[in-house]
Amino acid sequence: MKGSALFSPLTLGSIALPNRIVVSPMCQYAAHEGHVSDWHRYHHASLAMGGSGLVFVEASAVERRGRITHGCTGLWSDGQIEGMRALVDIIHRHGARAALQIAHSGPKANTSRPWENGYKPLGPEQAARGETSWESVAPSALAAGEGWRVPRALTEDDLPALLNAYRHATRRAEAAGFDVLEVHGAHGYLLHCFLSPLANLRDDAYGGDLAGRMRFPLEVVEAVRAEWPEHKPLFYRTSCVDGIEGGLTMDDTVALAHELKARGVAALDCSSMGIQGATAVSGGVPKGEDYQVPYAERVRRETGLATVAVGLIRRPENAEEIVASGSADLVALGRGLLHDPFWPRRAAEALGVDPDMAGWPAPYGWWLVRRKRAEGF
Amino acid sequence: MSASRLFEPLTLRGLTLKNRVVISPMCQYSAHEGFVTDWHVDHLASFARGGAGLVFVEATGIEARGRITHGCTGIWSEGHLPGMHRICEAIKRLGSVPAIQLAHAGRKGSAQRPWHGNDALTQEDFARGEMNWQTVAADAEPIFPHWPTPHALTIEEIGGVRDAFVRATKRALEAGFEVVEVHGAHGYLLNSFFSPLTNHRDDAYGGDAERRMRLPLEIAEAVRAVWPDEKPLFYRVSAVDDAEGGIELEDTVALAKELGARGVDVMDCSSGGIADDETADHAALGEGYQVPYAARVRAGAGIASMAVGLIHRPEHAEEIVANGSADLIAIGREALRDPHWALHAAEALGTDPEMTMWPEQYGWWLVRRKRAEGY
Repeated sequence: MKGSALFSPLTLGSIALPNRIVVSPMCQYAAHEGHVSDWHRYHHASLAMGGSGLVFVEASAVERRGRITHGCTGLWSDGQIEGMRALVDIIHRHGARAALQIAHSGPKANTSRPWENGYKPLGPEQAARGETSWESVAPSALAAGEGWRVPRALTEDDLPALLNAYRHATRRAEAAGFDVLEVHGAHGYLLHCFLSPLANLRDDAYGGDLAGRMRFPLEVVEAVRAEWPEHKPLFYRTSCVDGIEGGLTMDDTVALAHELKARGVAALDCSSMGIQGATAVSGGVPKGEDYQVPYAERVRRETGLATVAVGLIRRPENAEEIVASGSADLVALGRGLLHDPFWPRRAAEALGVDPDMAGWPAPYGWWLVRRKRAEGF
Repeated sequence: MSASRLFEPLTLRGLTLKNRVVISPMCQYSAHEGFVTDWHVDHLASFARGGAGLVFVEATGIEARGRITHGCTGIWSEGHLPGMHRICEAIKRLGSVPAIQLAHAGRKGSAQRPWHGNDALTQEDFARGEMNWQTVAADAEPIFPHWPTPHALTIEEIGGVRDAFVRATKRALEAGFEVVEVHGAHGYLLNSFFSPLTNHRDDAYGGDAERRMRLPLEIAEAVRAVWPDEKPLFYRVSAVDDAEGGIELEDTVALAKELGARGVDVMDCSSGGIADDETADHAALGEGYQVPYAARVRAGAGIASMAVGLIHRPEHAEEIVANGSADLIAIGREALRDPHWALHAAEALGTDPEMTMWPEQYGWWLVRRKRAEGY
């Protein structure tokens, strides 16, 4: 096998990843009351069969009001563990490691499923079929966008219960058997709102300067890290820049990364934007191929924290270069894997890794390598 | 939507397939005592989500001795039904139609899984507890000298095989399948009766073409009798034996006419396998090398046909349907390589510019990425 950085293993804590390809957490909006469905099982099976080393289960709410939509998964009750355990088993069975992103939507709760209403807030149509809106919470009483329900500003008294929700969700993630846990701190959801000066107008200990705005996200990380087994890695996803005047910049993110590293976070998953507007990645930075990679590169270079590069990465050579050049330790793909869940296997082929298709499941590889030898395709 | 024949629906009896892409039956050698495993469910679910109009469960033994290997799936007992039902549910849940290939391996049974050697079982297999079983065939002649000798079926025993096909068909219905295919190709039991190379009987089931056809026809008839009228029946044939003195294409046209008269709806046109391995290590066969068989059977017997074998380019698949060579295109190995082949083909052919064929969970994002980024 030819040397490839993308296809080299990586051990984080006690968890050995077979390669650097990560299935990014992607909301499926296919759950009911937070419970995963058959859809999730088949979806994750294909993703794991495709050869990604680490397969994330989507943003899963630590409390019911922390969902984005009525279709989001959750881990706010013990009854949700079993469904998650089934996903872990499926992912493991196909040779990948299983990760979970725990999340709280904050002011971006009460969203309709994207294909129902283009990500707009829940309306009368949804209410008519029983999908009513609920009270959302945020650091400040600022709506996520025009037409959105104004969230209730959390009081300091509310915060311990929230930390407990994170603790319990972490315990449940461990009970379900996940190998990696990620705290979702990006895309305009709750923790991002605490961090960004655009969404946090508090004048107490949880607002004001960067240290104040970082405080709650760091408390969450401490609470989760204390609950999550020491030998298992914890990731944190952040929006590295808000892309809006007066919002978060890379300097803020580097400072955050130092603090996260000091608290035992193993990798920073470097996304961006979403602090205002409906979609997760709304903001002013132009998008294009691997546009977020420079964020991962700078965090890694300046803090020594491992990073995950994500966003519009699709060419195998590009993914290889990102890891080989030291911009990131892991490369997460999202939509590219929805389009082609076997992208990692195709990438291995394109990069000349695994010419004998030995990494394929035997019922597939045995035939495919013979076809290739005989027919040239 | 640009006009595509590949993505045109096809109605067969009471069943309408949303397009002409079929996932070919492909042995996974991952079953235990005929029972399907989670592997099969995950494997087949991927193809259903991937946009194929019909998804086949692999060659499934209608009796235990009719398996090829110890890892083959089976439907010879009621106990096999829950697993098969799970597969049907998964395929339907993801928007496709479940089909099953009912098979009897004949003298090619009691074999190794391909990656264990693709040969007769050896000491190494016995050590795993995978012992030989008594195989059956038209004649008592092994496929290779070092293989166990099959038992030549008596007339009475032939009736037993027919009954096993009937019971398997009833179970397939109960499990939720919409299409059944009788496996009459690749040197397995029915092929061994049909081919003069492997049938030297002098009773009612051997001799001239009519008698060699008898068992395939009886089984098609018996299966059709218990398979609901509104559901289609397929038959896979080795259209040519590709061996001196073996079945030639016109023999198959004659067989197809008889099968059609007995209610078979689609001839699935493969080839070879009577005296060797059908698809393993060999010289290049060439893209779509079996398509002419499907075309000839379709024209000569006036029956719908399915083309299979080394079809991997969307434009090629489109052309095969458009020029009337076949009604359906079976994708095998290419789907192992790319379970979303059908969706990708629709994209390549410009048939689905808005990606509405995709499940909404995927398509909503992908069409927006395409509009914004051009890919």
